[in-house]
Amino acid sequence: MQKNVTRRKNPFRKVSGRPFVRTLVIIAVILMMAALIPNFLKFSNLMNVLRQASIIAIPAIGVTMAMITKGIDLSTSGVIAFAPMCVIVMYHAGIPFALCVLCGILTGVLAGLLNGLLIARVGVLPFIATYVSGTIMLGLTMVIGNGGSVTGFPKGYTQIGNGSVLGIPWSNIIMLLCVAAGALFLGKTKYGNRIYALGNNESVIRMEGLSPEKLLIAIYGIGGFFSAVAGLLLSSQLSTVHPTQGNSYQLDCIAACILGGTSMLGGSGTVINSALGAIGIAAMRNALNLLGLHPYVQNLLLGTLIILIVAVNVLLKQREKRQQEGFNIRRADT
Amino acid sequence: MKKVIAMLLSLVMVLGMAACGGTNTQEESQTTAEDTAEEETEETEPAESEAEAETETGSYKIGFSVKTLTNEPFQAFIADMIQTKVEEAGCEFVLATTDSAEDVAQQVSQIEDMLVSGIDALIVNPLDSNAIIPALERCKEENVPVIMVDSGPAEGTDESLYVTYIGTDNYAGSVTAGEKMAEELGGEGKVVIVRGVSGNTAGEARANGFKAGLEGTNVEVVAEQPGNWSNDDALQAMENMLIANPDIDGVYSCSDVMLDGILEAIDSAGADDILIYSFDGLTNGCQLVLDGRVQATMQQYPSVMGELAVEYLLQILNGEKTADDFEKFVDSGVAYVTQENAEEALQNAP
Repeated sequence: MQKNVTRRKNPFRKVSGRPFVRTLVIIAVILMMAALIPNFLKFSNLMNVLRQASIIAIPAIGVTMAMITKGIDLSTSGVIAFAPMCVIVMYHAGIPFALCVLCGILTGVLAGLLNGLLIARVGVLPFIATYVSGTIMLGLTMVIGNGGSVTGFPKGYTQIGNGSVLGIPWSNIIMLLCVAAGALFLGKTKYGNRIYALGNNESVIRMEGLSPEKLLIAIYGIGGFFSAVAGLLLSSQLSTVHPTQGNSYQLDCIAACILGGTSMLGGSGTVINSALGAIGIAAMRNALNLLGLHPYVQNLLLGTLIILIVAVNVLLKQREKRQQEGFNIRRADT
Repeated sequence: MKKVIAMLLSLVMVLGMAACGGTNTQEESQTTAEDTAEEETEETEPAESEAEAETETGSYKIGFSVKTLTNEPFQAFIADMIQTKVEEAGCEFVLATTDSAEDVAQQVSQIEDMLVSGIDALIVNPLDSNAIIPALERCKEENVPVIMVDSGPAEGTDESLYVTYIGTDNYAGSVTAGEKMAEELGGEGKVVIVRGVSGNTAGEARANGFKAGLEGTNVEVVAEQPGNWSNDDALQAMENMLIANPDIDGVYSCSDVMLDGILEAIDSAGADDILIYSFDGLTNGCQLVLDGRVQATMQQYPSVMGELAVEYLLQILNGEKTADDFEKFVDSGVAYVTQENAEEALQNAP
């Protein structure tokens, strides 16, 4: 970033940099939780936390990409409910299970592409487009499920959500794979890198021969895909499809992205940081549960912790910006 | 840099307050925290050593997992009774409530976390009887006996997953309500039902029971919509049903908690002469029956549920009885409350 700029050497440079301080805070919080809360560092508990985080982290991949383009995806809860509902209804109708799963994921992708079309071609604001499509998904879920929860998955399927291999739950492995795929796409591929330009500098994209509209539609399609995967995973964990099962995850997803440093103003954020944000939220909830605190107090503390972390992030960002401006002014003087 | 340090310190403060300010028996949780913190590094099973230490003193940790207690006097009644009985026996009580009546996944993760924190027994009122099964399986793995209260297991649930289900026979109670309403309507008329949250076994049983009670008469159910156990949703549901069916003769509310919303809808529509029957027998329900605004409510005995659940679990934990000694369903009883006995019912109402 600042490699080619000649500047006065600040001896505290490394120690006051944003990534270092963030790591410091995370380590401090983890040590504190480990000391104050019995059983927190127990392996099975950590695996549980990751399992609970997976449902937040996987849709967060798509939401991160949407937020980078100054958009947002509020249809995650709808797809998390609708995709598995399609699967189980089709399965009860006698269709082979593998095909049902394929169709379920396809519905998620189609829902996402619909979002993308509304936003890119028709020009509807992402907030409205995704909120409405999410509501429609929820309605469809109620309709095809007769308003209730539906159960009856094949035995092997529920093992995916609840079982483990070598002590590591399958859910965690799936989360790892999804996050890795998302991170590689966003960070290393040509299309992924251009996503950061969307909403800021579209001409750059056009100059390279890509279409910003197609890219935007693809982003929401990817979001739909990951939401569907999360929905199928959640239903596997619960061994049932409950129409409102996705509701709480929607806001947690967005909170995870913001916690991970994705800005709602667009242009920044990474998949890995959002996944860490998701793990952070799941870990905080887990810590509060283990402490046996009264549930009313838990929400209070959770909100306070999230605000503190976000505030620290924002303040550090501002400091960095001021430092950068300071260097630029000095450069202009010489 | 100063600002960062200030933030860090406040973070430490907040978490420190949280850890030391828990509402449960503080001394016990602090000593167990110290014990298990030392044992963690040896990688022994902390839950087992905790359990060993506790069987010597005869003090257990019993958890209760339920939906949100906000605006839920019925659930709060059960929770209070459980807490009283657990603490009377010298044990530790842990409460877990979800953010809303629809957060099925949160209930499962809360139970998982309670297992990690080392509970010895669990009482649960499941939000969704199907979704709770994985949590029950985990409890079985950890040898933690489970008793279900108020909402029962889904059909086909493995019986080894729970000791017993203590609850009101929602179906039978609602059949009585249906029969009584049909009687009062002279065997003819149109009624609507305001249901609970879709998928909740108690709610489904009440709606189905009411319909069964109407069988054989000319009373017809012209509409039914979910009120989701909330006044806001019940208000909307009732309004919609009144618009679609302006001349109904009666309404059955699957719970007293939705009565305020239903009455508001009826009042603003200017409809009168509608018989209102309800279920639960809460303070507000009994008062409304006393005032004549509601014709009847079926009163449950939530305190009995809580009391019996704790009693049975303690018997199992103390080794006096095993899970097989209990029937799979224990009926906690229901009473038909009308204006005549509403005064008395009010005394016992949650």
